[in-house]
Amino acid sequence: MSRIGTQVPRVKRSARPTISEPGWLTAAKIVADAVLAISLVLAAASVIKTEALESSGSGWWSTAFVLSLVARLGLSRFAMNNLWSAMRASEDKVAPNDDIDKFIDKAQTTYLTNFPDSATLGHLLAQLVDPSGFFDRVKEQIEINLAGTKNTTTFTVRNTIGQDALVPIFTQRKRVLVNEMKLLVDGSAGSTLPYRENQGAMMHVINGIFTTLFPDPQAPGPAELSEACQSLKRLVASPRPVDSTAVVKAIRDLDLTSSPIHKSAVPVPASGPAPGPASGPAPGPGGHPPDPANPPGAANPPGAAGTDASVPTPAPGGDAEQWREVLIGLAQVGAHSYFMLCLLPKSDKNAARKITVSCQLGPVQASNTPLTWARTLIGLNMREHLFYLARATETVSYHFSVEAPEGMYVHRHKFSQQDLPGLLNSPMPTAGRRPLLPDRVVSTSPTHLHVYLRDTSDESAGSDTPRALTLGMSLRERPPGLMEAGLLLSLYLAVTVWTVGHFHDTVFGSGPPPGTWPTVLFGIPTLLSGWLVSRINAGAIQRLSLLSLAMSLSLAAISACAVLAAAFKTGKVELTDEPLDLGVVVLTHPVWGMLMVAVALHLALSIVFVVGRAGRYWYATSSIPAE
Amino acid sequence: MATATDPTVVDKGASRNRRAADADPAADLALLSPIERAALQLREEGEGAQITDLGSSSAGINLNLNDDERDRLIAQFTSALQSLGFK
Repeated sequence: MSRIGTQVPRVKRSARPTISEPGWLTAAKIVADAVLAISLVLAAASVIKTEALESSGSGWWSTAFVLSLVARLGLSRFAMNNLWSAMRASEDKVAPNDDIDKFIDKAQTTYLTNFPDSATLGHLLAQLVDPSGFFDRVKEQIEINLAGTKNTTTFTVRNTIGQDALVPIFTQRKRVLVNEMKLLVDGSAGSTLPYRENQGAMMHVINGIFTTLFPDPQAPGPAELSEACQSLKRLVASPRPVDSTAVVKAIRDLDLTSSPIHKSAVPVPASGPAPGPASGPAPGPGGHPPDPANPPGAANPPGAAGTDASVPTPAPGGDAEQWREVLIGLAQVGAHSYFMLCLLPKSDKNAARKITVSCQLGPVQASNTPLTWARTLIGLNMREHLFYLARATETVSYHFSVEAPEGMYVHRHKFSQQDLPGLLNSPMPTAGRRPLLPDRVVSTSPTHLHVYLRDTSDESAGSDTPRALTLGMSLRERPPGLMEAGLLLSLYLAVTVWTVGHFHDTVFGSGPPPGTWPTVLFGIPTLLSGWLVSRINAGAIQRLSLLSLAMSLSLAAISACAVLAAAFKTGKVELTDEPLDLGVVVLTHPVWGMLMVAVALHLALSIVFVVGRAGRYWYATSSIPAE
Repeated sequence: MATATDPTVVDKGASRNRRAADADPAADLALLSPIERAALQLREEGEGAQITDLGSSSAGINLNLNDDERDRLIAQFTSALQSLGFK
């Protein structure tokens, strides 16, 4: 029975989502590949004349090879530029502002419904701008693998509100997913906030800061206030990385002089309380709203609270300027990254809680220089590492430990502290940064590097300039490695080649053929060196140096030459019979003589390299490496 | 309506950012995160190591407050939140 009403409507082919390239393009690529391969073989055969294979028309085949190569590259270029870019462009389509504004409204409502307590958000904000006041210890454990690094971070954090709290555990680049992420809270499975609630929390943080600056809706604030607030929220809520320059400039240009918490700079002596009114203790978290006639900033100015030398001198403008710097920080980070928030279940007030996050991280591929391209192509990307230790300045006590991959050891490590604004060539928040970490303990073993950084709050040892703290680490193949197996084979080859060379005329003389034993004799190292090269898989090649790789490949080539030379001589085929005088040495039998020189050189180089690497390993593991 | 501070006006797509920065570092530099910009700078200075960003927990700022300062700022903030409808 016909059921006309259930017919599936036809969709235009061009409107269907597809990831396949057109059939004609695939067919053209296959044809170009085939012509490329055939013309390459025939062009090579026409250049290298052999008795078994000979080709004619070398110019024609060479031309065909060049043309097919150009055609193949052109097809790939066409596909990359026209097809994949078009698909990516449709994927990258920017959500209009109306959509973002609707999302912001929904996110704010969702968050407010589920977390109506202001103390939760106050606790979150304080961690975002003063993490070292809440994170007692951060421990990062790194495991290097083929995909990059597996990072396990354990936070010891204080919940100062005694109820459900939100903890910022990660900033993750927008449009990049966190792989293999696991989250534990006090050893049990934990969770991050759902996306909408997570963004809703950040929207309310921004709303709260702007309302802190200008709490009275009736009082006239700067004309650009509302626009700056909404722009910042759009920036943070944007699903894609965006340029924060305009928003940061708008925030910097905001006139905060009419804010009730704005005041002119108060000089603070190096010790002792600052002059000025001090009318009682400051309200605690979740305390009563401040008295409009006596705003908190004026009632208890920074610096008046104590004599702690680590307290930075307040910037001109007081608390209002601090809040401005917080907004700039939120804009600069939120423009390209999400703040991932972990839900910390209710506990006793000030109880220390442990949060463990593990995930797989890839390297930051910020450039594609010929050097990095070549390193990646060869696979040498597991030996030199540079870790950006952003969390080191966000905690009182910081541990960083890294385990060398199997078959490698920590050869060298080095700390560096660079001026962050100079490094980035970009303005950064300038409000009181945590002083640098003057105390540092490093513990190394052949396969392990453990760094402990402790904040002594010693301002004289630090700097208020934001710094990029990085740890560079160099790994090397741990002896015995591939080179030592190659040394044994090289020794075998040298002994046999030189022995046969010593009795050359006896073995390959004018008498009856010696049989196949010379070929078999030299076939053994050929097979073994082939096996050695076959062990160089993706994991092994990242441990090797270029030198080890070159030595292994040259050993295979010399072994192949030895077995070929033995086969020719056994068959009484002389490639050349003229002695070759090199000045310092005369090669009576040039082919075999060159083989003897080659194996001797290879053996000598192998011995030098193996001894050198063993010495380097001994030095690196028995002495305190310089930082 | 798009405004001067509208971030979406300059959004050119995350997946193209790094390639674009490779081609012209100045063009889309602003779309890179601080560590990506730092990595770019280090690469230009000849750094060949594999650079890994271990992440961060802050808003890129650490005010390094003492207890009283922290309490005062949180009090300002929470009172503002209460005027926005929070308990």
